[in-house]
Amino acid sequence: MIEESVKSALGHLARLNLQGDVYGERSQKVTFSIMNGEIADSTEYEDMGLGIRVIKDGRIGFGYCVPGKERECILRAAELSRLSGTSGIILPEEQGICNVKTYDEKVRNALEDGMGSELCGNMIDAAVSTHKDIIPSHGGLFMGSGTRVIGNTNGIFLSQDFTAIAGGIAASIPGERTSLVASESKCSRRMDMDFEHLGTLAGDKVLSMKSKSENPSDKLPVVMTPHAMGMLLWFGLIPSFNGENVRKGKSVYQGRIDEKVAGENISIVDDPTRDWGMGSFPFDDEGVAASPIPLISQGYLRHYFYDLKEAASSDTISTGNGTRGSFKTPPQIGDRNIIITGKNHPVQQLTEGKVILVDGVMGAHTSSPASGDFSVVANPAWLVEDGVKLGRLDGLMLSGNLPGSLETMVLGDDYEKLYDTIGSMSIRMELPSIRLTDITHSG
Amino acid sequence: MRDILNRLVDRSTADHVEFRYHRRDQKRIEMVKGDSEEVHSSTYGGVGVRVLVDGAWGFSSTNRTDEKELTDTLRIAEGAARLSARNKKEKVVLEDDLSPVRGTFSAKVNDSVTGYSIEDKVKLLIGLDREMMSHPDIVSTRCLWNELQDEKVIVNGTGTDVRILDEKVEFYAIAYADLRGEKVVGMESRGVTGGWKDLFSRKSPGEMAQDAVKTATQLLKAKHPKGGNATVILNPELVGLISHEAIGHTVEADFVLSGSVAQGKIGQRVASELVTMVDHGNASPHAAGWTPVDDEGTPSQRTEVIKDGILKEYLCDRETASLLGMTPKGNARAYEYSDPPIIRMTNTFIEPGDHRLEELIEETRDGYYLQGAMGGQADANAEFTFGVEKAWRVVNGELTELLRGVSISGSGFEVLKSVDAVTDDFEFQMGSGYCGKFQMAKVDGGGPHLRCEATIGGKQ
Amino acid sequence: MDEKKLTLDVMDRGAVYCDIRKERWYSTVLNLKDGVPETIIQGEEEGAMTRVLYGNGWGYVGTADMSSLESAMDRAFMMAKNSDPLRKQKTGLAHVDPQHSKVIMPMKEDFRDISPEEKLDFLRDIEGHLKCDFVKSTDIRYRDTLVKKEIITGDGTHVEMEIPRTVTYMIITGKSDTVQMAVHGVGGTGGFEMSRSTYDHVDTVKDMLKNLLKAKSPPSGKLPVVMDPHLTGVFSHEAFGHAAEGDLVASGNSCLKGKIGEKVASDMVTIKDDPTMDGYGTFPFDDEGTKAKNRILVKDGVLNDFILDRENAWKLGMEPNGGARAEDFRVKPLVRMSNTILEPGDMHFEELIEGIDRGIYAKSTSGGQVSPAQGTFQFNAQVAFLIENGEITRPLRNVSFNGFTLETLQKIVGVSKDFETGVGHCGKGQSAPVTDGGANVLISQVTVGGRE
Repeated sequence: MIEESVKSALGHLARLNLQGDVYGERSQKVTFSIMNGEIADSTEYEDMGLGIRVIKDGRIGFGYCVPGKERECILRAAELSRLSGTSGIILPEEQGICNVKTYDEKVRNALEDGMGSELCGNMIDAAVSTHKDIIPSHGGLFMGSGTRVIGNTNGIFLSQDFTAIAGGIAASIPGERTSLVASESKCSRRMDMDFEHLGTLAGDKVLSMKSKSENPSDKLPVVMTPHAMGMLLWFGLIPSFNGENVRKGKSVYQGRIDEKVAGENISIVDDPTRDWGMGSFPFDDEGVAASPIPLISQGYLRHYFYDLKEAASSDTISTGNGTRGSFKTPPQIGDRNIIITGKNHPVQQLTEGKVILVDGVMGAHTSSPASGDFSVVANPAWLVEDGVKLGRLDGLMLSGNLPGSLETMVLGDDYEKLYDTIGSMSIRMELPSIRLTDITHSG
Repeated sequence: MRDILNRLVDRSTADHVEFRYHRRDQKRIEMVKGDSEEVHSSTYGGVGVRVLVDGAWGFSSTNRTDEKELTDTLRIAEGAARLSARNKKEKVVLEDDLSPVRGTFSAKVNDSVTGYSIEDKVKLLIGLDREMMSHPDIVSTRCLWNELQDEKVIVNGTGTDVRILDEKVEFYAIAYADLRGEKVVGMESRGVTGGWKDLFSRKSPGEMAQDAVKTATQLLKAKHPKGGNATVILNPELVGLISHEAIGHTVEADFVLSGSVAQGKIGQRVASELVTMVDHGNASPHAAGWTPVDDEGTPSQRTEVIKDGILKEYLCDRETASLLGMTPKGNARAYEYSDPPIIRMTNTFIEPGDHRLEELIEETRDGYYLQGAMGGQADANAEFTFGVEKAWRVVNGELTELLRGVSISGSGFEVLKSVDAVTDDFEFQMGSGYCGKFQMAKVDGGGPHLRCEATIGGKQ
Repeated sequence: MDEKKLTLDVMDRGAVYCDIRKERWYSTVLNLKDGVPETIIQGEEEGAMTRVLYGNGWGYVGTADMSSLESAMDRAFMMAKNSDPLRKQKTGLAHVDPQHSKVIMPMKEDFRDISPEEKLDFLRDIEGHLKCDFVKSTDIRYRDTLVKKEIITGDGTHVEMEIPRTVTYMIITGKSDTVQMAVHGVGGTGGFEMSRSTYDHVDTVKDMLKNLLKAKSPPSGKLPVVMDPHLTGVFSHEAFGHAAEGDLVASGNSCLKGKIGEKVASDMVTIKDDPTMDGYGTFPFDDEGTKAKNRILVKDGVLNDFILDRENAWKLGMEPNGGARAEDFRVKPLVRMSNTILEPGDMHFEELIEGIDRGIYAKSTSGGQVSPAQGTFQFNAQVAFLIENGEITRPLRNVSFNGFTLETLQKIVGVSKDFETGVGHCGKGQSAPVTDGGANVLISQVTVGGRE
């Protein structure tokens, strides 16, 4: 049905002799939310709509609408295009599209059969059974399935189904003024998640926070879990690969292609062609074929990333990094499926000796992408000796420089997929725990 | 259990070790309009271990009680203490002029509430709620029931080995009336250490519900007061509240050391000579802050914080007592097994004097008689503001009209300095409340009636 | 399918309650960055959310496909029925009188009659007024939205409403020793006339930036602080208002639980949340179809009311007052604020500051954090001034202050007669347009911290 609607919009564009592209999305989502130890409610929503970009004399106008209103929307967008500045944007033509797995029938079925409440219940029960004081204070489960369609007046018409499932649970031990809270979350595109395990992990984690250690005054190595490191990298480092930031001088990597910027073992790739990646897709939200983009390869800076508009401004080609928050927002430049690879060490090796283990950071969004400097509060964090958590650390401030840390960081082998949305942007990454030795901690 | 703990105390390499086993049964019922209800029932327990190594504390806890787990927990606490010892400049020294305490201490319980089923209690609350709702002026009601049955075993390196069996119970009946969009509240509450007969020794639950309704409906007709400084007569609840909130916290040794207003004032006049303020965990068997032995194993003793108007003592634990050259008197308390003990009050009160309440009122030309508290705050400077449930205007020795929306504020010490009469009656009236200071604590407070000067707030 | 009949059918099948909320949204978004149009979007969308309460279980199902409303309702019914036996807590809905009404909130100047071109010209003109030697870059964001809603409930309510909202944000930056930014938003419920008044605020935002550029770091410690009406509004909303939201109160996540009738602030403090006054958060009926009412949360220092939807009103034994709001048709309504105001008093601004030897006058806010459960807050002022010997002396930046909400409310010792409001979007999982406002307020002592 959404395909027809996109086709109809493309037909109108052709008849009106206009250039442009049409993005359509139809999705079904269900969320179960956890409050105070039980499933408080579940919400199901079926969404659909079109985002239409009209290009007239190089000027862009954008509108969105519900199916059936394509023509009015196009006329409005064409009218709006007169108001914008010119851009040299060139829409893609037909290309070879690779095959990427993004759809699992089992997730779709689970969604339709309302299996979510059972899975969510398992997660709650597992958390509760770790200890009597524990209340799964909040969290939830998400399942989604849908179709994305992109077509343009250069003859592209692409459609792909996708599924996603995610769960998160915060286990808390209430206290009068200070409650202890620890959360666990995981996501997948496939029906391969163990929700019970997730609940147990959250419960065990908060229990390990009950004893408190004094913040160490001597400088210790810091081990960041995938979740904590992912947030830090997404705010503090990944924007430096963004072509627009490079052009505008807001990137530490401006003019440094082929320079050595990281340890020889370290590679960062934006790879949407990986099967089942949270940001994987055979084409981007502007219809550009997906391919892996090595950003840093074995220590050397190799590429920045671009969408169509920024490619035109920077006089290069799109790397397939046009992303949309929903059909209501115009395409914007963004990362897709960031993966950190290199020499992996068993994760136990990372916590040998005395280290600070950090599972979450507050204030990652205040990192400066222009310099890579960051200053965050670690929460939760523990003092760990030879893998044993001695006690939690409260109010520990961490500061450092991410591009600098790339030289010395050590990768674990416990890869996790991350998925989160910040405004209309998405965080989609895959990385292991990482040991950093050049972090200043205080507080 | 006690064998294991004693074995572990002997085995520990720490300079001092404390084990505290604490098991708690809690039942809580909340009823709204006799309809919406919440019933929580939980049983939990575990062991908290605190050790002192090289002058630094380490704490850990576990909800399991087998010897292997407890050995691990002890090891973690020792590890944590050792680590923090490396960074600690000022070493902790404990006051050690203590003799070990042994034996079992049981709360005095008349008609234990464990003898009543949860259904009986729910039924009681529904009945009271409905009865209160049946009054035409009452738009909403709430009833609350909360009970704690605690068993504690405290074993430490000083040789202390005690078992404490405790039962505490609280009850609230609250009625709300509505005056053109403004809510008017009548509340009756009580909390005690003991059983059903102790809880309802002053009034039956039915009488409490009736009184809550009576207060709310009386207040519907009440006027707002004029603000300003005034002579006030405080009832025992307000006396307890000011003693606890405005004065008590400023004399807790940890707050004193971090610069509270009471720092350096020992030996100075801080109140009228009529005022003697005491904190005592064993002041009365039914006071809600009953604490025969604290969680460091120190038996409760009477602390005369203020004696005849002179500041005499701070409330200490073993660490701060050693630091300040004082005696620990049973104020180191932890709310649950997973909390380390910190300095807390127990039952805080002002000693009765020799005036009769009737005389006090008769002698007062122009003032207020204040009964019961409705919220408020105090800070480390002893500045306080409390809402007052019922305020009677006193004119020429007689209670005239009832006022509502009255608040009382001032500096705790200034107010106590202005005390010119203390009555001969005495009650604990704060037992339904909790004190929050990083963790909860069950406390009580009270005293006689006092006459003093304070600032009355309100709008007319 | 007739929606009325749909709801009645579900009630016949044993539901305790059900409703349908249909919405159609029309939006225009314009963003002018340094005089160049950056984003120009026009769009419309529609959808519906159905809710069913069966026993103690809720089901919420929404759809953008209006032809499938019947199956959405059926799924919501099944969802509710399946979740009923799993629920440990009892729930219910407080009674409200059924409403039948259609309210079209007026636009003096209908923004649909103004072309995007004209709106853009207007923004260009504002830009011209903002530009000056110390303003290095400008970013002006305009949005108008018209939502048409229809709410049909299983217990007899059927209301329709049209709510237009317009907002313009001015963001300007300049550079002295560091880059500084000043932000100010203007808007309300109504048409393009709301934006016309943006001109009146151009100097406000420019003054703010000018002062920030020459500002120094603040002193720290416990100091008297005067909050301007904007900051007072945000404080009332963030630090106090959230704790007065019925859902947080009923679930035990508010420091105000059980405190109705208690003294929670100084006698000078009266705080209301009023969806019936003029503001950005104004509406005639909430998203459950309950008639919107003014709620006096604190009256003369005494806690008087909460913000309540029907479910939480039932749990707390109180009257619903129109507190249910949903961001759009994709989500269920939550308990939300509307226009939150700390009522002005009778003092002059000069009287507030004349007795202050050393203190801070803090204006507007650039963010902060609150914990309604613990009753703590931390705010950053957008710009501040030092008060010395009863006079405002020099500008300060990076001023933050924190404390316990209830303790701080007790320490309000002066409230001026000035009154101003500001617009914002409140986030609580969903976004809601709100107005916050108040007077200049003197807090006798609060912890002030600087950061550099």
